[in-house]
Amino acid sequence: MSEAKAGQPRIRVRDLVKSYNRLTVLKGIDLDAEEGSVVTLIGSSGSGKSTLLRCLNLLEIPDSGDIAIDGETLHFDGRKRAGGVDPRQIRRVRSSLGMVFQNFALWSHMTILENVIAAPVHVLGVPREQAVERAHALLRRVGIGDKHACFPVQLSGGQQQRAAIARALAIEPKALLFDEPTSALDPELVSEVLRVIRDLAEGGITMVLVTHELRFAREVSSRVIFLHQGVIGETGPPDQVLRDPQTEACRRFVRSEFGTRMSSVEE
Amino acid sequence: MSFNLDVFLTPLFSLVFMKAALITVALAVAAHAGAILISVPMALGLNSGRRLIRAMIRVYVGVFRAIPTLLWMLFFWNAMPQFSPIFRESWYTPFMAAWIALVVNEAAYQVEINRAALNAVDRAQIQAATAFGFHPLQIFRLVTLPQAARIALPPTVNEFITLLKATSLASVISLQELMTVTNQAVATTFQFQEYYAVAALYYLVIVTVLTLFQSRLERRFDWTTERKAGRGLMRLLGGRAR
Repeated sequence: MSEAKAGQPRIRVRDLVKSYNRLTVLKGIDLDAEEGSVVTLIGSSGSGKSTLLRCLNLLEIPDSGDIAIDGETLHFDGRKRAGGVDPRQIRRVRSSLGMVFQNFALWSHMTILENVIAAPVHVLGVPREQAVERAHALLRRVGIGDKHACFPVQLSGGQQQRAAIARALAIEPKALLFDEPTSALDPELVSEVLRVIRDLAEGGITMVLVTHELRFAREVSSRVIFLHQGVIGETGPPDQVLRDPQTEACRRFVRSEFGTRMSSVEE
Repeated sequence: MSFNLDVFLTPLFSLVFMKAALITVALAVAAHAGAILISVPMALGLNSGRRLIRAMIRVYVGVFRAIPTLLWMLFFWNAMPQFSPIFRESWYTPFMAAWIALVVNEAAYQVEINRAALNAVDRAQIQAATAFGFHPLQIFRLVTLPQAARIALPPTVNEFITLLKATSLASVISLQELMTVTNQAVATTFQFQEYYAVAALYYLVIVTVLTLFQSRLERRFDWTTERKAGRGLMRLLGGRAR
């Protein structure tokens, strides 16, 4: 992991545009995630928050705009193949960001340990012994140190998601990207995953988080971005955006979310 | 006429029949290996966006599935030498002709199995590998192929059993496999019951052993139930995961 260059955020996005066919999903987004900060993206479905997250590690190639990860800038021109960016550079950016998916997406034919060491060994070229040692430490850190020999199917949803977080941490990412990490979980399993995410946030890992858990967002976020119809509707500290929204759209969203979703971390 | 046990047992343990059984198994294994080798790229082609490639593979499958294997055997053995002198040379044995006929024929069936298996692999897991920066070839080798292979295993073994029995068609081009040897013995002795029973027993044993092997393999590579397995496949495919 390289040190962030002074004065540069870990992730900097400028004027990002993404459309599918004729539908423009992101209409010029700016985003900065400083080192050690937690940026939370909220918004109703179709607001573009997941698309924005997927653009960050280039699972979606933006039409135009700039994405800089730790100072390495990618400029996109959607008229060209792969946005005019070298596939090797795309893979390098991807391997520097740890992604956690809504549905875990662990590799079902690999044990938990194999899942965690796969990217370090095959993508980053870390020696196997070193990767294994580190993987065991990470699995202990997320509380499933004894599950390393299990296959994903043998674990509960909460355990699988924690394994997925360990997998994302194993590449020593410059930032972690969470795409609704608790949305597929049974309510009683949500808190164990949120606790791990909170520990990581307090440990100073840079994060971009897409979530509907607004109470949790208020607790861990450095900044909340409310996306509305492909643009940033509102942004600011969590207490401001979530308690005292300035725009009508955000106010309506926050009210409806707090009304329907009560689950959060216990304590 | 009663069943003569001696006439049954003598060929059963004879070198001639054992060698014939070996040729049968060798032909089936070599043909299926060849068929899988060319049908995997064909399956990938069918899944690709290129319309021309898809159309070409569709035509191939259509042609080779429509025409009987027996005709292909006769064609490759009798007609190919008329096309080119290459097929008049000594390397072009009945085994080679039968092998080519079975490969091109079997590939047409195997391609559908492969295509279905490749399509059944969880897209989210492929996307996860993409998100971690794996090269597309690594994704294929480490994620897609092992999972597709597991899905394709039962129907593939099924195909192999059919293929094993189809090798008996090579008796028309005088390849010295089980059926040919049986026919030759019957033609001189007229001991139909005994020699047919020998051939039947050989096929039965081969397929039974194969079926047992299949269920062992399926258990071994089962990562969808709570059993510790899967490592064998990773090693097999060079994944070297521990």
